[in-house]
Amino acid sequence: MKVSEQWLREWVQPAASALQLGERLTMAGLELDGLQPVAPDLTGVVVARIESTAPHPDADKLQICQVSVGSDELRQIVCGAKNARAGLTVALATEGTVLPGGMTIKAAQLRGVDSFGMLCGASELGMQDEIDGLWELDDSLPLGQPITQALHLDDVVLDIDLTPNRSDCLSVAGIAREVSALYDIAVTAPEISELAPVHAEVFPVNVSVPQHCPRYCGRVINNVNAQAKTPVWMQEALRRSGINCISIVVDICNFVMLELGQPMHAFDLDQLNSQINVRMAHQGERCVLLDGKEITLSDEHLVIADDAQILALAGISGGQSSAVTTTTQNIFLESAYFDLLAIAGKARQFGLHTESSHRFERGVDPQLPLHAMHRASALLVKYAQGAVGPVIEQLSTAHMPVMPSIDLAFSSVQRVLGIELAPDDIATMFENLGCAVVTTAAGLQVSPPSYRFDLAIEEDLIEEIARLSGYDQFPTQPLAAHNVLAPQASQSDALYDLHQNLVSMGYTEAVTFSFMPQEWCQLFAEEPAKALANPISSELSHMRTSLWPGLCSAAGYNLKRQQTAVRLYEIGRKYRDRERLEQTQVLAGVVVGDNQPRQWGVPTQQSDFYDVKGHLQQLFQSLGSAPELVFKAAQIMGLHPGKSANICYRDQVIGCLGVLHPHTAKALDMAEREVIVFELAITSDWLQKTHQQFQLWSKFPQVRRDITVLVSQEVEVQALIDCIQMLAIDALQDIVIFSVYQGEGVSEGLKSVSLGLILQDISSTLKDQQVDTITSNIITQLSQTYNAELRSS
Amino acid sequence: MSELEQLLATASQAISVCDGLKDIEALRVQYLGKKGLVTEQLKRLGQLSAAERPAAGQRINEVKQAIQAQLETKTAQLQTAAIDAKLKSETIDVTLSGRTDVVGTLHPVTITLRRIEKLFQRHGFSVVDGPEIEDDFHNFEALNIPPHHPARAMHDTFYFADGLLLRTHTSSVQIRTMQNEQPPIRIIAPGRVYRCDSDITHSPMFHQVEGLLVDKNVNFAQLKGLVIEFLHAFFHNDQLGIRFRPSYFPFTEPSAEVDIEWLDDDGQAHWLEVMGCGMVHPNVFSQVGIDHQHYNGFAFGLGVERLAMLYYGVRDLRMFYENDMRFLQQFRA
Repeated sequence: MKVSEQWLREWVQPAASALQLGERLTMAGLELDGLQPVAPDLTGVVVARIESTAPHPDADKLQICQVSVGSDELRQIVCGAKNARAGLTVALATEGTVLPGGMTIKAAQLRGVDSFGMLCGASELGMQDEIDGLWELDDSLPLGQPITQALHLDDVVLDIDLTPNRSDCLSVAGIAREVSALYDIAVTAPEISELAPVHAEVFPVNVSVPQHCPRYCGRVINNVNAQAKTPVWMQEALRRSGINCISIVVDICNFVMLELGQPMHAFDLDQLNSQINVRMAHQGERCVLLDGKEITLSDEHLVIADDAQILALAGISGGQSSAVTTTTQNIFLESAYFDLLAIAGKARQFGLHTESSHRFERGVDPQLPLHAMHRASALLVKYAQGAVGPVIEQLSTAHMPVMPSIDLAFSSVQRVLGIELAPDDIATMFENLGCAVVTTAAGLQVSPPSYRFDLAIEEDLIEEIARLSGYDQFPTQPLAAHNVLAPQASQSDALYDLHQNLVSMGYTEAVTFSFMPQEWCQLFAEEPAKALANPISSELSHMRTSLWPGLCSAAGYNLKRQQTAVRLYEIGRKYRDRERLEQTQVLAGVVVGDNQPRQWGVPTQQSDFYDVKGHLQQLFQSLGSAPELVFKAAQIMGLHPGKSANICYRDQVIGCLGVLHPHTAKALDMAEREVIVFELAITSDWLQKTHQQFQLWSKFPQVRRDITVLVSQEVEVQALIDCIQMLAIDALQDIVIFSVYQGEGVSEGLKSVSLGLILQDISSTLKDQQVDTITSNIITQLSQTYNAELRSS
Repeated sequence: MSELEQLLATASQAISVCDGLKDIEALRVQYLGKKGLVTEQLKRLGQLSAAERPAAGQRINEVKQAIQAQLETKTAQLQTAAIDAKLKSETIDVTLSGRTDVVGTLHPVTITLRRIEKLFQRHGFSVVDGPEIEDDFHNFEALNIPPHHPARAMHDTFYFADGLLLRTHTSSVQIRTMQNEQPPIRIIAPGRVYRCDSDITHSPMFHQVEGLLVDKNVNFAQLKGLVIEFLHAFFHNDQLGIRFRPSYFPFTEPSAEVDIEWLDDDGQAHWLEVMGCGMVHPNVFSQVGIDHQHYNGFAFGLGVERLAMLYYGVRDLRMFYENDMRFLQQFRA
């Protein structure tokens, strides 16, 4: 809500500057968003009148004007504006004036004719410019008076950011009421008198849905001069409130709305058929609005219609067919109270947001329509010479809102706010807000005025007390301790440990968007991704099915910016719309580029599958879950079929690891790169720290026996290890793989695997013979199961 | 000069010019070995008369000890020199960089979230999580924002065809918590939130932390105390200017926005909004079945990126989601 300081001061006069007033309003919940002067510095620009004009001898488009500034002497000004004519009151920039654009006015010759100043258009003075040419001023302005003084331009606009609950402040009257309550000073509203009708013509009104329109006032005004000029003071009032001037009738309706808060509408009476019907639209009914847009309505839309067609979308926008134009002679003026719920949300359905809908969907004072009707009528008679008929009012008392009587206990104020206030001060606050206040045993009974829709329950009143006292007046109180020790670390702490572990392994955390292009969603998931109904762009249209595309894109971004070793991870949700919507939290990572920073003495190597597998093993080792982690070769959508694995923990697949398939890499703009990705579901199973137990080690020496076997290249090393573990040899502490070889010396189709068997007994030193037996059992087992052959070294 | 004296002089000379540990050993053998020159002298003692023998014997022993001492001294000198030479040859350039591994870092949003979590955990708040794809009830209706409430228009909500939506605030977690737990409740809910709005100062995805406390005898003065304490701790500044300004959120009443006093580049102080808070609205309690006569509570919400930007001096919100490692690797937990 924009309100000019001058206009506000016509209503209420606080002893405070505009800035101080703005700060006081801010601290009362009406936030001052900005404070702008209504005009730039216009020193040197004065009111002048063109007394005569003569054509320029050497230029068709220029006129030589003799201009008066009140003294006897006339000034000669050469002017190029088309509307320059004798008798016109204009703004003259005298010699020495610096215009807002920076131009300094000097005496000059234009095509050989002397000119002593410049006649100005509105835009040259930093005002809005609706018409080309000179700014035509009121003839009544005193000649020679500085324009700033004549037009009262030494004014500022307070731009107040109103919260949705304060619709009562969407008018000068409303802000004035608030200022009056804050400063405890009186409001002086302009005198509004009821005009006696000068003719008897009425236009019938039939309200078929009084529950949505409990009050409808209308009046016929004949012989309106729709071409009359809007007075400059009203133009200025509208301009300063951010409303464009349109025509006298519309401007008066807008002025009254800004002044009192009542949206009004004027219909061209000669375009109306039989009567006004306030009703719900029929399914599929159409209407062309003032802005030329055609909309199709349904039975949830409240409309103003005549017997032939829809005239307006009630409380939102008028229609084109009955709009007031410059040729309009007779009007029907509407001032109504529409129920908030009948209007709320409807404008948005059609992409509309009007001054009227903004007010009606927040609530307009139901007691205001008649008052506003009288105000607008008086202005129309004064400035557009209309002849008013009688006002007709359709009122359904049964449907009018009933203002509640709210009980306020003083003890509640203390309980909620933690402060004690004097009962008299509280009563005064509500009286200043226009409430009726009655003292009760426990406190007060407060009846709010009809415009305060936001006051309904005790808490609403407590908020008013807090607001008017000023939050900064409140004490602070310490919070009583309430600490409970949970037996388990929280998920959030466990996650933070995970973060720390990843960081210590050289991973940098990324945060990527949860939505992505549809093509990306299909790279790693079969089922369709969940699509946003109203995405910002096609790049951010679907909920991610995997964190990999976002991470790969971030990795690519960094590779393009000279990063050589990229390890990124993210912890976040992915979304799958299966039978049930799944929003699973996962850890995902991407590794590409060097496996170490480039440095002296260390040959550069590209990261590969085993680097990342090593990171994951290390991660689980530090979490204490390493022995239970198993990697199993798997076919994973979007990954290299020979370089991908499921990660299993206690026989459950908890994630996967692999190299991007070349097609996928290309789709993610990472072609020609070996990109390793991994993902782990965040589940408490592996994340939550288990209660650890100490284990005693054997005091007897370890024996290591190395064997090298030849097996088919298809046999996975894990299978050999599992096969040995099947023997359940107590003394076998560990199996170390120290070489896997294919090539010269090993037949085609075979591979050589070297295993170090770490043996140790808990109760004695192993004898050579025992070690030999164990080793030979292992070799036998391997040869029986996998046809392994001991390779002689 | 006697033969013995001559022997000592020759030996001393030889030891003094010797420059290798092997040569020293050879000299020891030459003079003191079983067939060494000094040993030979001792063997010849028997040829002397009994009267001469003690004096001569003593002298030979003195010579032997002298040579022995000189050999030991020289050996020690040569050993030290050898070690020194070895060390000299092994000298490295200590200014060359050590072998490093890739260094990782946490995202500034995570660091900031963690700092916020830790501060509130000290006051007994536990950290809870909630879904990001939400239903209308938890995101709006239960928070006293019925359909067509003007506050909905301010939320720029992302919707799905089935009516679900992306949560516009973490306040939805309040509702889920109160539906499942009985007071006393002290939670904070950090997480991603979404608004369909994108420009220099708005991102379609950002992070919030919602806080909720429900108990007996909770009041606005305590809320104010907690918020001030938190902001002082977060910015490491107990002189930080803080003001509470009345505002409106449908789910709290009274409601406040919290501004902090901040200096811009020109040294001008401004009020910057950093948090919203208020007493839980009775309508919210009735939606989740908490008896408003016995319990009341307060809630607060803060924008994580906003706080991180102020804390670190980051000016452009979009940097948080570009994932440029030159940005990410600046922040240390």
